Amino acid sequence: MCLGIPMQVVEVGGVFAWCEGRGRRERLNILWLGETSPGDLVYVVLGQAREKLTVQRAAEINLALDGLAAALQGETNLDAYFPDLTTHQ
Amino acid sequence: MPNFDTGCVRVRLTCADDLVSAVQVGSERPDVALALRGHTADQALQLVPLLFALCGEAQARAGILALAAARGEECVPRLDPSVQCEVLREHLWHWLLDLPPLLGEKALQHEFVTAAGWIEEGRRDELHALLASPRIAALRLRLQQADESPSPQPRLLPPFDARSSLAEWPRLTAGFCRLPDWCGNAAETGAIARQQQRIENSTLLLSARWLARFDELLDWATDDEQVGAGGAVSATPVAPGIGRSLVETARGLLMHEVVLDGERITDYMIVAPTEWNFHPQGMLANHLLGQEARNRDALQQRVRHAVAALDPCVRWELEWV
Repeated sequence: MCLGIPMQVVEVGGVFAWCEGRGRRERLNILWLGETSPGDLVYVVLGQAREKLTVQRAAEINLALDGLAAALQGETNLDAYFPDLTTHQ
Repeated sequence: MPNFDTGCVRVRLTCADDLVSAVQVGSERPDVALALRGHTADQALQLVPLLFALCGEAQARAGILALAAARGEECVPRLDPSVQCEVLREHLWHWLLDLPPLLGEKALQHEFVTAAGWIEEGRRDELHALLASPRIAALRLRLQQADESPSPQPRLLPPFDARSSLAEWPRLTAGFCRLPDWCGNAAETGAIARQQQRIENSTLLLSARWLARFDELLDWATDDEQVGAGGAVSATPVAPGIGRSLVETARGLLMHEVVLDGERITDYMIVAPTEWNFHPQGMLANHLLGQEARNRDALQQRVRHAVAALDPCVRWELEWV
């Protein structure tokens, strides 16, 4: 159950990049991501940037994580966290 | 945007007389099923791959098959190519990027990028040539030389498909999701459990876990993979409106069980491999208990090797009690 978080590349230096997201700032290896630039969004698991994300995909994952965080705090109506999904009902 | 704790395996060691006298292992992670309850089946199918983007293929397949089973549709055991590809990529990641630094060597980053492409493109011969190369042979040798003590009597989870699992676990409960057991005891899952028929010794070195992953890569590269290997999927109805799926992921057995009331999910259980492999009475605790503790740095390194061999899907932390 490998939960990860989306982060944004803010500075690239060789095969490493400083990335920020969800209150964190981490230096991550990006070699296997191919050409990477500041502003790119990446999916981070266990301190490793595993793949690039589109803006839409990163937003969807962040919303899902927000919804999960709300559920863990006892919130039962999660529709607000999944607006695209509720319209598909 | 608030921080989000994706979970942690916590290892607490107590030492007395220069030996590890007590080991506490616990897996702390968010209960994802909470976010799935109350949604419709279709919503859950969109949410699961978002929450588990890394092992998204395995999780998505497990969700789809469990929901189909809740509607009465059985899935006989088979290898799912997408899940299998994800499993092989994870094995490759561990062997080429994680293992070399653990042995004091540089990660094989360029080899990983190239070989991951071969797996996606189905180029088995190229991967076989890499696995048979002197560089990988040297890595295998270093791995076996670095191994220290055998794990005491490992208890490997036998192979299950969704239907055969019903006899062992008629229903999955929240307690079972946190602390899964087989016949009342902890058991290890993963490539090594999937390949237990090939294993001759009753005791196993830590390196056996790495070698089992390697063998799954080699099986694919030589076109010799079997149903039941990483990437195997199955599903079965448990009762009207209740379905269960089993998926063999890179880290081991993943189980989903969904309860539907009409189209809405009233309960959702997920049993992940990390809960099997980092069970409080599991292999890690048994392996560390009684280890020499005079040199804490050396002990910490041994813990690191043991955790890496079991491969948690969350970060891990070591605490001295």
